[in-house]
Amino acid sequence: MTVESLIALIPALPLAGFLFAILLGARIDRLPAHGHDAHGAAHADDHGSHSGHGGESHDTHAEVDESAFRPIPSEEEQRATSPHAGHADDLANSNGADGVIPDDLNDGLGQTGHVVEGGPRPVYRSWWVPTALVAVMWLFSMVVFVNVIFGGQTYHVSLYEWIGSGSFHVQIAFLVDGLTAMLLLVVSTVGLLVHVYSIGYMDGDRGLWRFFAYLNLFMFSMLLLILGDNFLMLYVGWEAVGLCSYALIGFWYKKPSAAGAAKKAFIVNRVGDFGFGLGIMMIWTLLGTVDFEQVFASIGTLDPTAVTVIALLLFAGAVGKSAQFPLHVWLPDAMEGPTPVSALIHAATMVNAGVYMVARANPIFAESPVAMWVVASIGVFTAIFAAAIALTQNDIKKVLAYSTVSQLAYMFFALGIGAWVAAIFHLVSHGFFKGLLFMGSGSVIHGAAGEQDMRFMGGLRAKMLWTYLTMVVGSLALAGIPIFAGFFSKDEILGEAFGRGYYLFWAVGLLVAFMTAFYTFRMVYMTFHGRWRGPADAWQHVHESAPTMVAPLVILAVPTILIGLLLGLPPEGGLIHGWLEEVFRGAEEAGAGILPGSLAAGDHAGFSLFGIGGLLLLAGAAVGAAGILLAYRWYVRDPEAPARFVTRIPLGLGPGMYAASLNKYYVDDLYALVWARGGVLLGNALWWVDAKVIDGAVNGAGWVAQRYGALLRRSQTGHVQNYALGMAAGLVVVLVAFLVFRA
Amino acid sequence: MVDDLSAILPELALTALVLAVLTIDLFLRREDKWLLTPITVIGLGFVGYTCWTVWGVNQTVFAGFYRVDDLSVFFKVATVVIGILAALFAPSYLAQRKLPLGEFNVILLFSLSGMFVLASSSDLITLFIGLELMVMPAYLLAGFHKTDRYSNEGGLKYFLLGSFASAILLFGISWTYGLTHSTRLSEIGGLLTDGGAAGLIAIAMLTVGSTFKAAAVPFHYWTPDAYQGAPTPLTGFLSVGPKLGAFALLVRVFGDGLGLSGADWYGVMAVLAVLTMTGGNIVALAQTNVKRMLAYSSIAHTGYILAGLAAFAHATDPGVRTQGIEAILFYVLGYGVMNIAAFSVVGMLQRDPRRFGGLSAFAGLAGRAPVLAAAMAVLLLSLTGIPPTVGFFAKLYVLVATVDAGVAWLAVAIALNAALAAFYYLRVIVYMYMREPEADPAPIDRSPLTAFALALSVAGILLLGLFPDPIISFVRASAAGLL
Amino acid sequence: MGLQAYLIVSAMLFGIGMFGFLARRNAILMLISIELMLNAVNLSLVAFNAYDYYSPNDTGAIFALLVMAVAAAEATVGLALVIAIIRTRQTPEVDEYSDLKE
Repeated sequence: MTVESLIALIPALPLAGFLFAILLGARIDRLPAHGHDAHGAAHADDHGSHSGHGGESHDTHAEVDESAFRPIPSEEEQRATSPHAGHADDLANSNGADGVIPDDLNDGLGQTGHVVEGGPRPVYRSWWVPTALVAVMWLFSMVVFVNVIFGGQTYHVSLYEWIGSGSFHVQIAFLVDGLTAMLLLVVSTVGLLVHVYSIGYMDGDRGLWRFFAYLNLFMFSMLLLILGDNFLMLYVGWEAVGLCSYALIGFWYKKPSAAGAAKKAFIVNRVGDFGFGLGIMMIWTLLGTVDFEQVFASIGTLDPTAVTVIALLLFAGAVGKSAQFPLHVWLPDAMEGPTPVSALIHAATMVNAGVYMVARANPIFAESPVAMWVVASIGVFTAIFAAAIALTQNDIKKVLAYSTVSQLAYMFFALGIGAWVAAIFHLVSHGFFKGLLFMGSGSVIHGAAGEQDMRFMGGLRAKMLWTYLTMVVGSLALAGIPIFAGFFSKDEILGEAFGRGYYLFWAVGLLVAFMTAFYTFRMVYMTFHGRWRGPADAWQHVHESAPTMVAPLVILAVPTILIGLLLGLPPEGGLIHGWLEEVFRGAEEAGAGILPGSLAAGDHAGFSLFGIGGLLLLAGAAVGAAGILLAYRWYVRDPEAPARFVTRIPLGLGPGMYAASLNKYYVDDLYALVWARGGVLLGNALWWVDAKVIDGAVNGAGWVAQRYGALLRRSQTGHVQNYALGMAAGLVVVLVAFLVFRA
Repeated sequence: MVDDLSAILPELALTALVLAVLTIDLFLRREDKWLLTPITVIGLGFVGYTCWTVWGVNQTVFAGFYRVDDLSVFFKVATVVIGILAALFAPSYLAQRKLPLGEFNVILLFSLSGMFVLASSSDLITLFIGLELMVMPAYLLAGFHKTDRYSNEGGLKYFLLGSFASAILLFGISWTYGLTHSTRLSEIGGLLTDGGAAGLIAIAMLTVGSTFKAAAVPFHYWTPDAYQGAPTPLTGFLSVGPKLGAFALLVRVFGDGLGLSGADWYGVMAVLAVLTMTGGNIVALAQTNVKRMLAYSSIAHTGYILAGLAAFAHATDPGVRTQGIEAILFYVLGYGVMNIAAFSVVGMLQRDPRRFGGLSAFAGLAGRAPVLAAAMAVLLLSLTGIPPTVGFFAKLYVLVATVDAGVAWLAVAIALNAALAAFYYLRVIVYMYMREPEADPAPIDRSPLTAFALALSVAGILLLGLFPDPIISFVRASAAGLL
Repeated sequence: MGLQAYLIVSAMLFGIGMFGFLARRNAILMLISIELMLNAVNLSLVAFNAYDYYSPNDTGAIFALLVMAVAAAEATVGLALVIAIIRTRQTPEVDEYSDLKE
């Protein structure tokens, strides 16, 4: 098979998986043929939708006739036979699903056609085909990756002309160059590992078939997004990943917070997408094409103001999708979804779409210094803003969520200053180590019976060695400690910022690096070190996760350790620069983002370990180490230290807080006040603007429309006479309209 | 040049089919009545084939009363497609209610023959005859369930208001004849320029009479009631068949007849378009019964199609003008397939005749009948206008036509309305995939015939969404016949 | 008498029919009102035809005949529907037919 046909197959495979799971998944997740329970397993499907296996369950219980829809056992029976009641050991396992979803919500009613109260557990097999297809897809992706990267090829696979109406022509075509290949590496690898991980994590959830269906649809959409060779395909993929994200955040739709978070993500993203759509429409109206190559070739002919407007509109989409200030609000809430979803969509892939899009559209952004400034400023601001919030979060997933916002902001910061390659480098390494961290946190939550609050964890390393070790690797990478992936990519961004003359941004970036190291290891220490702080009887149930969950962690730890060394050495001249050279050549040669008077503007001879570059590297490593040390001092060595620190806060704020800070768990709330006070206040204010004004406008429009709908529908009185009168009045109106509108 | 009779071969074939079905019905025993469906479907297939024999003929026959051009062939082919789907969707529903299949097929075929005549008329007289031939069977279809009070009511309302609108249309036609001394569509172009105030009255009455059949606001009142009352698969046909005919009428009268004075009626059409799409969507938002919601949404679709007509009227460049007509053709065909199928899915959830197709019937459908839910999801996405479905291209076509014609504000109105419509269409998807079923879920009709027709429609919607090229070229070639 | 007189009568007839349709509550009487409107159309068609000096053919008169035929068919369909609804509702008053609304 040629590489071209492999490329066309890559998105097709998860699509096939999606179709399989959505159409057949519910049927192959079936009750076991021989139950061990006298009363119970009833078959709730309707009249033969599952008639194929209807007979199998009949031998275990009284037959279910058509009229008896759902024999529900009495409450006592339920309790007595509930799979959870008698087998506490089995608690975490049988209740997959984070354990966050209470039993009464995971009752199976409405999630699938099965009702299993008191009955045998259904056999879940719907993961099998989707996962296998994604594995094949991964294999193909790697072949394509190798061909593109090491063969130095750019593939252009044009399937056919999709739209050819009037002045509007769009091809269904795939473009695989260095940039797409890097994304392909992250998306397919993390995607495959998340599929494997989900087999263990979601085991026991009765909506398993839906989960894998959505997951595969997401993979398909994401691949469409990165493979498409025009803005329309990018947009289609963009909207589709949003839809999947909505469905997956709200996967446990009976949990009101999950349903709310899904809605919020959807609506906030609409705001950004609206701008994005407008930007694409503007490109089409002004240039008459949406094809990447043609657009980039002719963008220079446009009026600079128009280019700036286009770039800013496109960036609005990126702000929404990649959760940048002020549209970041949806991402922390999105943690309501299952953790594999957080790892895949909200850390490693979908949220990168904004970064990818800006990088892809680099010729457009390079033409507009204003847009570049906006991108860089929003990036820097979001980076410190989100890092400040992450410092005080207690929910392990929230820490990682804010960290993701902050790291994505780093990438935008890099894009805005013209450090394109550094941004993509960080995207790749972040995709791996953040995916690892999220899956690790999922393993922790799973092992700790659904606990997400780090204040009630501690000492887990004794029981979860593999999770601990891999999490530490991921954390070292996030903290930017040398030899780990994050170190190279992050320091490349900082080095570029310094070299291009953004000294203030560089300083802020360094501060963020320090904060990142601190909150990351605060998380590690609170979770794995010290003593168990949760309920004493829960400790005995803490356990290492299933092999399907641990294996992806171990596998992801490998690129987390190696990818920086492989791609990033020597700094600012590593392999990745060669791979991506072609993509960013135009923008690089134009010197976009280089400030006058900076090192890069002068005769910048490149990186020198003994010059400023070496100092910068040292500084980066030093702040990382300092952050870890501070976290160690405060959370392991001397748990009283944070409290003391608080008392030293000037302006008399400290003493008032002292009494409260005696309570160790309470300290963090004080941090929220002190450290992130500004940030939180601002965040709240923005949340308010977002929730009341933007959400309000969107929901309000819907609400107003519905109100009017309710009013207007009353005009449909049901009486023929009124209708006829309405028509007669309409006749008069049309007559008058002809008089008025006559040319 | 072909002779008159060869030119109307499709009409002859269809008439022969009607008579054949009518006669065969008499001789079939009750248990053999099912044979009528294959006869109808295969017969319609043959009629569709005969349509191709007049492709490219492009001439006027019967002393100028009848016009066989590629545009008429398009409408006839679309009519046949809709007719086949209607004939496939209905039998299982009718059988559950013990309604006569033979009468249904005959009435359906009569209505189709009216649409044929309408599509080919080049004279106001043939136009009127065709229109009445199309709608009178439609009244009967709306009231087809004779013993059902809702069906009675819907049918009677449809009939009374429809006849009222026909009378108004006819009055407009008579004045048009008086003012232009002709009933030929090609000779009434001077109506507005030379007709003065009387010309205005005439054209206003023509507008009311023809937009009524297309269910434009404020002449839409009959729509929801007739659609809700009618047996559900028949509603599917009513929502697309007569509408196809109505647009054939509009294209003939306003495109053929009054095309050159487009600037005079552009404003009214544009206003009607916006009123229609907005009114339909807003009221659809407030509906909880899916059948009635689809009825209102079909009003909104009329609005989008009217926007194509407005774009045609506003444009001056011939290429752009045809684009408006192309948009109408593409839209009515795509809409026809997806709407008839969507109504039929509602019908499939009414195997128990006491069910009314409320939103709750769709709750948890994904778990109960995954394939049906997925099919409905595709239909709803297509109705919303999300790629890669035919509905997306239909909307895109209208949008491009309006933008190219220089009426961007109409494009904005369409885009806003499409966003509004997403709320109620996607709500059904949310019900199917994210709700639990009712305690007593509606039984599902699983007859193979219905399933086959549904598969056909969904495949068509997806295939045309992925490969719209063949249909676009067909539409292009057809619209070229107009000018 | 000129064309105008016929047209005025025709318009009045049409107006009366329209008023009847709007004012009457009985389905049968509404049907008759529609027949009145169609007859108004016939009158105007025939009048236009008689006074049409430009194209002396009988288009209008023929059209009027066709309208009559259509009106007859319409009456048949209408009566069938009215009878069906009277069977289920026991009344011809359209006011009573408002189960389908909003």
